[in-house]
Amino acid sequence: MKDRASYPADPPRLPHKSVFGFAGYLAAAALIIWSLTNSELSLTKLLQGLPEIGRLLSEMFPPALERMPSIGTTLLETFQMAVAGTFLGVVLSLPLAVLSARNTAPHWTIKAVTRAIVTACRTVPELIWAIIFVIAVGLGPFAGVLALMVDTTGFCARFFAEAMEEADDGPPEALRSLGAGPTATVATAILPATLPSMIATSLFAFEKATRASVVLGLVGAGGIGVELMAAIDMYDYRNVSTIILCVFVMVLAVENLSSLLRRKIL
Amino acid sequence: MASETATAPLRGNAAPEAASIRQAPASTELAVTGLSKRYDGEPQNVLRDISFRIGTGERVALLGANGSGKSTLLRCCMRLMEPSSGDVRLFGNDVRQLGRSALRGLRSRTGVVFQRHNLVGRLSVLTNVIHGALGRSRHPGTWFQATAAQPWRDEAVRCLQEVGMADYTGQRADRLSGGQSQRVAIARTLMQHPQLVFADEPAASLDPAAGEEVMALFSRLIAGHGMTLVFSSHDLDHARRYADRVIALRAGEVVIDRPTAAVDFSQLAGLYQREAV
Repeated sequence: MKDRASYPADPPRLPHKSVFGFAGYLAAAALIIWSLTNSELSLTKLLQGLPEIGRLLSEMFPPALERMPSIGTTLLETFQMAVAGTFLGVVLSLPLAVLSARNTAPHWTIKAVTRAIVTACRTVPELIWAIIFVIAVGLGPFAGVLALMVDTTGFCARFFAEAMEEADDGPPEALRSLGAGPTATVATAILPATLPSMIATSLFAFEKATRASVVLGLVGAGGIGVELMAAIDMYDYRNVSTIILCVFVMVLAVENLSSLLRRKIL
Repeated sequence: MASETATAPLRGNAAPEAASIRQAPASTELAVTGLSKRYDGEPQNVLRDISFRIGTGERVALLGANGSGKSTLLRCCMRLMEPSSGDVRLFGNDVRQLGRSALRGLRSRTGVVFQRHNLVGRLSVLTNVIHGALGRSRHPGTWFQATAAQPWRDEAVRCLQEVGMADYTGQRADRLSGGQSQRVAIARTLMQHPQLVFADEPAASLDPAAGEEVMALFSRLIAGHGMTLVFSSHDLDHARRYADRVIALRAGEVVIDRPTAAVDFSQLAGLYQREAV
């Protein structure tokens, strides 16, 4: 048996960090501490506010059922907005993803421009998009659908592109080697390989759009948010609780349906 | 040959650029001259001043240890990878000078069988074989079996019959065994109607029995269709039985290039000896 001294040196338990790496950790810690200290965190204020929360909750119960037909109609409109916005966003995401993925983009300039567009779609919050589209096309669900479409595009195009970049390069190379063009290669090798990932992303986008569609009504972009805003403005907290419960049931149903579909399809 | 007769009308759908490619003299299909390749960031060339010519109907075994440059050489010949220097002429065309369209046309006449088969796993066997026609037909109908014209479907089934896989048309490709996948990949190559076939270690990922079956089938089909074959392998026995010429590489250089009958296979074992670490 070899004696210990003949083995190579014992490897370090922790990876060696350069001065820059160590400075990075320090900077991250400093950022967190700075953010916490400047956010006016106060346990005292939270404890003092608990009775107010209790009072609000007591005013919210029992939920009012008088406006259920109207709430049901707007809830359905909210759901339709989420479906339409997600569908249009997913459809728009596909070409944008192909143009922005490293292995499918026809040229680096097209990739750069497309990525910038997708990033812009993603970085502007959906509520801001809703305000923009309400100004552009007026109050109502159309503005909401457009806002959800843009937000879904920003979300899906990025993840679709990442899925395409991670796809096995073997089948596309095989098709290129037999003379297939770039469009045919994407359609017949890359898209089928990334389909499960794209379906999962689309279902997550649908869940996200369902939650977002509730808020869009607050700025007049249609859906149940309009009802919610009206109830809050009129201090009608029993109706507010009814709306919140209805939204909760809808979001829960959509999330469960989405999970079920993911399991079935994938 | 049945498939020749059946597909004669479809050849008219060949890509326009294929027609613009110069027809080479029948004798030489591949001519490699002074080919070198160095990967970015690597200190040494993977291929060094490689030169050889391959004529119509030849069956050439490319031998060499892992890292000797066999796969790189095959990829450079197809321009799936850019050579660093040197000249590659396929059917008389300088592949390094061709534009995208012309290169696609040239590739449509050159089949490649990969070690990992490279089928599209989520698609059916039939669709994968129809993909072999993507170089001949630019019509999106050939993207999937459900949309392909009946003559394409019929021809694909005939190709599957030739490799003994006609009962698996509807099977998803990722549910096949390794040997079955490689048979389907060969059927895809037959569907392509290539003049020259490159095979990168076609039996390497299979167990010995399946590898033997695939090589025997492959060799028979290549001969039956009158194609030229260049295959890389670690199996000296495959080289002895299925090739009529051996090109051996060591550290990116051609060290042997002679007819199989003139090769002393007992000495080829030296190709696989490693330097002491």
